[in-house]
Amino acid sequence: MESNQHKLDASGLNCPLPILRTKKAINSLLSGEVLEVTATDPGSLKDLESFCHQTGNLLLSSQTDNNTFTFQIQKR
Amino acid sequence: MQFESDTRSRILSTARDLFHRRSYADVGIKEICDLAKVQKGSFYHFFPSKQDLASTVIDDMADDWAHGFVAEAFDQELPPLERLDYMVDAAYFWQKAAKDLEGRMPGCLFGNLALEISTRDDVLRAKLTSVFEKASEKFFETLEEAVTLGVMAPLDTAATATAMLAFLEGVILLAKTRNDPEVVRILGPAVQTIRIELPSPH
Repeated sequence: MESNQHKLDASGLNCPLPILRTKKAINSLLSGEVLEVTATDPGSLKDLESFCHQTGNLLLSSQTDNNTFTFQIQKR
Repeated sequence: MQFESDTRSRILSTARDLFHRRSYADVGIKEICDLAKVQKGSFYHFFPSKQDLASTVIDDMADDWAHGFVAEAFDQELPPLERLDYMVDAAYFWQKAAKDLEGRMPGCLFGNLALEISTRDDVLRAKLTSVFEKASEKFFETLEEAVTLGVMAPLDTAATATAMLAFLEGVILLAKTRNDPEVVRILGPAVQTIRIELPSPH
């Protein structure tokens, strides 16, 4: 449902800021809720993959469009 | 004026990158000018000496950190001890991203410069000392808050703050030596367990 969609815009931020903001945003969610993260840092895909791997959160999808990355992360 | 500030910032970012990835002594003004596409004359217009440049690089990086990930990690909204986790995450992901990109872990610019210049340049050494003091202040404020809130038993907050910074700098140094940021991820969280007790009352 649209109302359950949590969004974080980390565009224009460089590593490690997008990860720190993502961690904060994920911590405020309930288990099962999904966070959509937008980022422009070229390292963000690798960073978010390893963040999800280490924290057990699920990287549902990642898309690249014109140097902008969009990720869907489900809180474990 | 726009052109002037562009020239200055190109010199600064080139020097910052080279000092960080390589060293201070090993990088010459000519190489910085070549890479920044700046004439030597305009270099000296902005920076009378290489030491002035290094001093500005240190200020510039310290300012970026203070307003960037240090502010983000030491966020007043976070419970005090959680801020330490965020600092470790910041160090880990930053080093990891740099290694993914360049193949080499750069370490901490301030730590690298401190090792390199502390026996050679007292002006830059003093500058770095004040950067480390400012960083340690963040840990100190966090520990003071944790003690006030009762989530930590009273301890020597000033000494513990410095010890925490020393531990993280040491972990980053070891990780750099192994060229393996995972060392930061594995050892870093133990920063929370460091404590230096208050002198016992006699």
